[in-house]
Amino acid sequence: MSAQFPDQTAALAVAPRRTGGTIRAVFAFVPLALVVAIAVLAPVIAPYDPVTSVAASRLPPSPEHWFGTDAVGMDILSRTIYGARIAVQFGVIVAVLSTIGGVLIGTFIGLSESSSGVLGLLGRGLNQISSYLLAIPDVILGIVVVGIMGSSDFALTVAITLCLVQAPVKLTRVEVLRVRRESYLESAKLAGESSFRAALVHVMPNSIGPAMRNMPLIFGNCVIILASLGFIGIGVKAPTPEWGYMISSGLSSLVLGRWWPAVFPAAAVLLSVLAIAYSSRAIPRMWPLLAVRVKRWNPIGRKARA
Amino acid sequence: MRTTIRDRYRANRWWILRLVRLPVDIFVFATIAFFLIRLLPGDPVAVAVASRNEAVTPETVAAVRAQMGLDGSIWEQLLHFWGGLFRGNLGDSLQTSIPVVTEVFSRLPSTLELILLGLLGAFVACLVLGFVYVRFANPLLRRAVRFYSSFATTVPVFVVAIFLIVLFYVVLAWLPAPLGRAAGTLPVVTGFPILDEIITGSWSMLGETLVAYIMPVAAMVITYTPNLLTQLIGGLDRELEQTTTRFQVAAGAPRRWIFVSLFRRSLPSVIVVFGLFFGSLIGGAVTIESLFGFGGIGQLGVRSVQTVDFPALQGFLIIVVTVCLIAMLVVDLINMALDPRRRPGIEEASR
Repeated sequence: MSAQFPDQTAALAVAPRRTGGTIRAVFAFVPLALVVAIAVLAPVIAPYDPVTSVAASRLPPSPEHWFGTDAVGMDILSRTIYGARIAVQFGVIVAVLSTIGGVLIGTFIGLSESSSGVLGLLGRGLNQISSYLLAIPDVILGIVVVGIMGSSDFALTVAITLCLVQAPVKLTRVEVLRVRRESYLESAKLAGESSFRAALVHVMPNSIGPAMRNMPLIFGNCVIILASLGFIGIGVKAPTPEWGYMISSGLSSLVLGRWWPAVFPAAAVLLSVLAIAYSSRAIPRMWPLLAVRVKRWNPIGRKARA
Repeated sequence: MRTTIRDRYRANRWWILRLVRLPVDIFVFATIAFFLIRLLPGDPVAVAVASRNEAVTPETVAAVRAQMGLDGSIWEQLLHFWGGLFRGNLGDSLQTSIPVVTEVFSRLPSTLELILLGLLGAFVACLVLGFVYVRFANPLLRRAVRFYSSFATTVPVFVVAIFLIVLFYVVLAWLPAPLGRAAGTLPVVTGFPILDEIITGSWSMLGETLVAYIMPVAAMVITYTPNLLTQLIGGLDRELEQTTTRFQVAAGAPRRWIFVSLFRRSLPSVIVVFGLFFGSLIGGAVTIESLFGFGGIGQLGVRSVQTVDFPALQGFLIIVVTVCLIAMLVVDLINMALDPRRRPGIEEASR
């Protein structure tokens, strides 16, 4: 999770080339769009139902079953395609939840941490807690949370969000510390705006930038953690076509030389993770272009400068 | 002679203060973990009771609650927990009735061994590739190294391992099946399998273990090298431009010394990432252990989830993070030793 910080700021410093830059930046999102498209169109693309036996078990890849069938005769191609659906579902929910939560908590910490009194104490406390939680390995935190809450989709979402919310908290906090010194905040205060309103209207829109750019990375990490937890056997429930679980249940046949039940979902994890990483690396290039566009359409839009 | 002692303290303050901070860190973290796992929605008692095939009566619920140490008010629990923490007692596992601390520490060494081998391998690979990157002007080679480093942190380690298994076990049949370390029971002296086998002289088992380690360690090296390499290449690119390097070249220093100096200046950020990745390596080791059939802390964690073993989960979390905190301590100390500018309070001292 800590690797989310380094190269973003460096890439931001490089201004995008105007000519052709937009097209290249847009093309960089093709891999991500492909993963999402497969997830959305899964019922259309998948040739069979992913959770029922459709043929004899353990068939090798053939024209009828491109990726073969698994130990109970379910079609691996369909399951791999539906696996994208599961991964994207979790990824989107976790990315949205942890970005929203992270921005709110980060703004609160950034605004309250240097004030005295109960609020300041709370802010500093939250900041410390967030630093400590950052030290817990993702998979370990996942194991513990799922263990205590019992295995369910909700527990998994909470577990992964708890792992990944720390990055937006830290990113937003740093941004808020910078924004706090801006003179428009002082003007707002002099104009008689309440500090709560100022936080909502002025501070937050101007400090969400890094957290927003971090969102696809959360998405990618969510796919990784979900697959890891599924792989060690504490992910989603059994027949659900989840990649990590498919890989681990294909392992026993792998040892016996039947490679297809484990390899295809593993390849799916590999490709989707690489696709997401590739596209998220393009975001710093895309961001200024987007900001310029939005500003042109909406000259007074404050949020465009975020 | 009082001044001498004081001076000596002042010169060594950086590591003394950092060492003193560790127990404080562990205590604070354990307290946070205590509240975190109690604030989570959902009730482990209900989950545990539901997983048993008995009639649910209020008595069984109360009994399970007491077993898990979840009876009484949260402050009573906290006092009890703190008391146990200072005595190094984090409760007994519900499954085996063995103290959690014993259970985790009996499994931790084998996991640590795997992590250390993976890390060392990644570190060496990173140094070699970094050297190749600086030494040879071939643009294709340099671009290849850069491209590899751009895979940082993305691919989960067990996926890489699956492909290794398919290639080297299923297709080529060069390496044995991923079914554990070595046949037979391992004599336990230190808990580190390789060390134990050397001490007790079980050479054939040592051989088997080493062969069984090839694939998992290779998978970890392939996965974690790019993270270190990105940092190293960044550092090398930066340091190559420095006047120090130019002066060394202009002054006709031997090539070897220029390289040593270059690497020494580029390494601190690599070591920082090293420490930060320790956590994700433990996570990676858990999946790798489950894939290759090694018993380790991962096995313990999964077993505790399946049996809703609340004390074991709590102790497991606290001990794993303690290990991470110690790793960060070591990284901090190494970095402060390498680069005195990183020591706290050095600014005031030089003024």
